[in-house]
Amino acid sequence: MKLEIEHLRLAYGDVEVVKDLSIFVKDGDLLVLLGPSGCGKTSTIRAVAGLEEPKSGRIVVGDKVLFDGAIGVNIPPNKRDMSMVFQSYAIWPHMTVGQNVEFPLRMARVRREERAERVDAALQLVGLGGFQKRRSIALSGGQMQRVALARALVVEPSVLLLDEPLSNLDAKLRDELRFELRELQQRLGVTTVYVTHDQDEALALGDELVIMNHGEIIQRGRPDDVYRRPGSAFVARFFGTVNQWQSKVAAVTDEHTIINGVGSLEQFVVAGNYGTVGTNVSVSIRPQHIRLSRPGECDAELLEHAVIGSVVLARLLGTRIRYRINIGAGTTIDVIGGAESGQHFFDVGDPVVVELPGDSLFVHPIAATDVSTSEPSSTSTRSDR
Amino acid sequence: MKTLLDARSRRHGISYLLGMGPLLVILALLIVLPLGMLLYASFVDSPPNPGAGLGKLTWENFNFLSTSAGRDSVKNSLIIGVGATALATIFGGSLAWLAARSDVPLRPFVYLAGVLPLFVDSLVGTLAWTVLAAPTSGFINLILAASGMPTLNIYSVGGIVFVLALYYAPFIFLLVHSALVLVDSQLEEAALVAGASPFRVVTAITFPVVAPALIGGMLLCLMLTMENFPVPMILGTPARVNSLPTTIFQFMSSSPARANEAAALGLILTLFMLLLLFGHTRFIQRRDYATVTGKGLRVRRTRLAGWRWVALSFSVLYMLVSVVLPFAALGVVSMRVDRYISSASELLGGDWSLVRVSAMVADPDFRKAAYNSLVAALVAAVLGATLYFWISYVRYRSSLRGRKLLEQISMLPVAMPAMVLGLGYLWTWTLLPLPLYGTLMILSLAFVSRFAPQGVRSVSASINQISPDLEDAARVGGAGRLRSVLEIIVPLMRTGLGATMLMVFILSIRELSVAIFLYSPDSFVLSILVFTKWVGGSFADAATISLLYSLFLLLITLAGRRWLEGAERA
Ligand SMILES: Nc1ncnc2c1ncn2[C@@H]1O[C@H](COP(=O)(O)OP(=O)(O)OP(=O)(O)O)[C@@H](O)[C@H]1O
Ligand SMILES: [Mg+2]
Repeated sequence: MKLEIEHLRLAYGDVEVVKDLSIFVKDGDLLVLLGPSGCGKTSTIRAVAGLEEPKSGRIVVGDKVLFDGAIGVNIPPNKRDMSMVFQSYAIWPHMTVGQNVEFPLRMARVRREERAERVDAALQLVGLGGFQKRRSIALSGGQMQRVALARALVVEPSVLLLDEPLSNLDAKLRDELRFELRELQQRLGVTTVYVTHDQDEALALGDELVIMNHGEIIQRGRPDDVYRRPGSAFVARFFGTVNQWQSKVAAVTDEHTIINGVGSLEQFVVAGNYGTVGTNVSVSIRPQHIRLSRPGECDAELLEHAVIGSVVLARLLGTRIRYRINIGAGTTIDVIGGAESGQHFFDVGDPVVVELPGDSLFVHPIAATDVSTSEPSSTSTRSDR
Repeated sequence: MKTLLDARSRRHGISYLLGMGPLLVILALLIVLPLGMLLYASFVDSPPNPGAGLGKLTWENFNFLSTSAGRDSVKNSLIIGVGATALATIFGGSLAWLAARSDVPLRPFVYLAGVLPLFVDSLVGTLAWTVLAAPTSGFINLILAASGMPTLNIYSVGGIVFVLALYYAPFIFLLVHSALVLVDSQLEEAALVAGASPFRVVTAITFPVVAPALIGGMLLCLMLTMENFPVPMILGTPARVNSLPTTIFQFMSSSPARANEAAALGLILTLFMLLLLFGHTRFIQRRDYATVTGKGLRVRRTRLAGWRWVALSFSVLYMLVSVVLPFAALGVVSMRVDRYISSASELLGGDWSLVRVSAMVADPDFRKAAYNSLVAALVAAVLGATLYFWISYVRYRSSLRGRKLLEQISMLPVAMPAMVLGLGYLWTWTLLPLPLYGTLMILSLAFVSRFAPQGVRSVSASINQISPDLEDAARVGGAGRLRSVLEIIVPLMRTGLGATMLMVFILSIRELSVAIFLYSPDSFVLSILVFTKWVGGSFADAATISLLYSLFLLLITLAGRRWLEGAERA
């Protein structure tokens, strides 16, 4: 069933944590909610579940109005036919694993024999087959999270709400379950909202991605589109890893904008219009889009935005190498290159030609208020894949 | 209750009325109205009896305070409170320091000595001490006289102070002990290294660090001893020493009853309590935890050297006078065949038998009182736990407007002396058109009011340990409000709720002062029976009942603790 959230506002006391938020999730789609800690992701899905009362707005599932501030409709959570995995798991410690998973079935008045079967199947699904009789306080964090997942999947809800459901699992299990979850979600065709911190998860799972900050939607779209074309300096920084600088528009031509460079790079020339001369802009580039070569190896004249730097730091990350390169004037830049044979390997201290291809650069005008929040040097939210 | 606490009830009058309405009505009946009655009665010229109509406004009820008898009762209350608190601080404080911070031999025993008197009801302890130290016939006095030493007189202000101090010292002991256990030894070591003598370390470092706990305990002790009724009643009456609570009792039992004057005195006593409570909250707020780190709990124990045995003797002596001697005395009175003991040599000789004890067990009055006590306390425990849970739940798990008010009202009885609550109940329930006055139910309700502060606090502490997500998960899983409370919250709180019930049960069985104005010939309880036997001059019966009653409390406490431990493990 489709889920519509219209102009949702939610406040705790006087503090508004969700501000005029509208989201539409098509029937059977999975929407990923991504945003920094405290931006209101949990609050949003709690409002959808009926656990928080919004100040205003509308929440509709299928054609059933669950909440409408204008006409005073608010269906209580137990009548909303939803499933939710809580960020804190919320496993009931006084019940066994089986009783935990069985609870929603009991509430839905499913027959006893059928309940046992479905509990079995749900536990099997999350890799906890045979755990029915286990006491739930004797589980590890990851196991609890899987019980919570089984409890949410044991019924067929109209909407499935997942609040960082895989955050506490090891990388391998997380990959497996993520895949399982996506497969299952598509098979059942259950409309899902998935909250995460993890950009990999967002890329791997979502039909649609919504990026939030301070209770507002910053950007929405298909995850790979958002990754490729971040709509703002914040999104570029938050979704993926970038080197980011603040700069100013130096000159404008018919088709190009010339922007002050960084380090010993004099200027960037980019296609398109980014405002009049003097406009503050942020320039970002992902570390894996930067090309490195040895001086003299290729013709510097033919390269775009090329500058000579020296390697400050080189670290092997499995199949890739992460470099930090000084490009003059106290500016460093992070680069990720392949480590397969045939690729160059640079040592600390090596001189290196750094090329920033123009079509990989993201340029975003920055509002005056945004200036203070974006740091001048390279910013990495988390290590890239 | 299904939907009434849903988030929307903030806006929807009807569910608001359902959620908050009943609670406000209940709290009004149980706490606000009794207090209001007292206030009203203090300022009018006729008691709030049925059919009496509205009284005329007057200040005359306070005139008693300007008589010498009035001034004496205020003065005595202050002397008793301050004296008993000072002595209790010496007992409780030094035992706490010995148990927590010194190398006194047999430390677990010293700890036991510190807490054990908590389980002796002050009524029972007082009766026992009349047996031990009545002017000529007291057992201790018999021994003292035989050895040519001056004798004691328990029927005096000194006696009152001493007995109160014995039985209220454990409150100070517990508070100070738990603070001392948390003091970082490094603070003391730093002072030692700086050249301070061990004694200076205690006075300059340890004492200031635990001062907040100590002073908090002292204020609490002052409140409890000033409002105590049985001790000054039993020990003060023969010596014509009156305190505020005993004067209230006498006003109410004189005929015609001087009810309005009693109310006025009750109001004065309540004002004292409020003042102390205010001081107490101020003190707790300014409490500085910075030095009590709660980590590095390597405790350095002060070497007592030659004083070790002196310290141990002190603990043994305290245990003797607070617990061992009193029960021995009650035992002698109940089990010696020949009741009259006129010299020290007769104390342990003579014939012993359980005849009187078994006669008492078969006595219909005793049986009735025991039954009433059990029923009233049980009903109070169940009703109380339910009400306290309901209040805590609305307070901490709903967004209903006015939820904080509920908590504040339920804390009011802290400042209401038991006598005052009893008076308020008397008037409230004789006026209300509900046929509860004179029933056991009224006692249970009064107990529920009396222990609301402790009860709500302990249930709230336990509800706050449960993550709201656990209940929310049940709601999303399809459970209604009532269902999620019954299937998730209550089972998770079973230990906390059980402990609260046990506490209310035991405190209710012991409570005398609240019940004193509320019992009827059909609804007397054990504490009342002991008291009326004493008033009627049947000292031996009172002693025998006290003994049985204490045994009963001990068994209940032990059984309750076992049950709680079992619940904890399950
Ligand atoms: N019950 C509450 N009362 C008051 N403020 C709250 C409450 N719950 C959340 N907040 C505040 O609302 C804001 C949004 O919180 P929310 O839990 O929705 O963030 P989040 O995006 O889920 O963060 P995280 O990724 O860390 O889980 C935060 O600033 C938080 O402090
Ligand atoms: Mg969250």
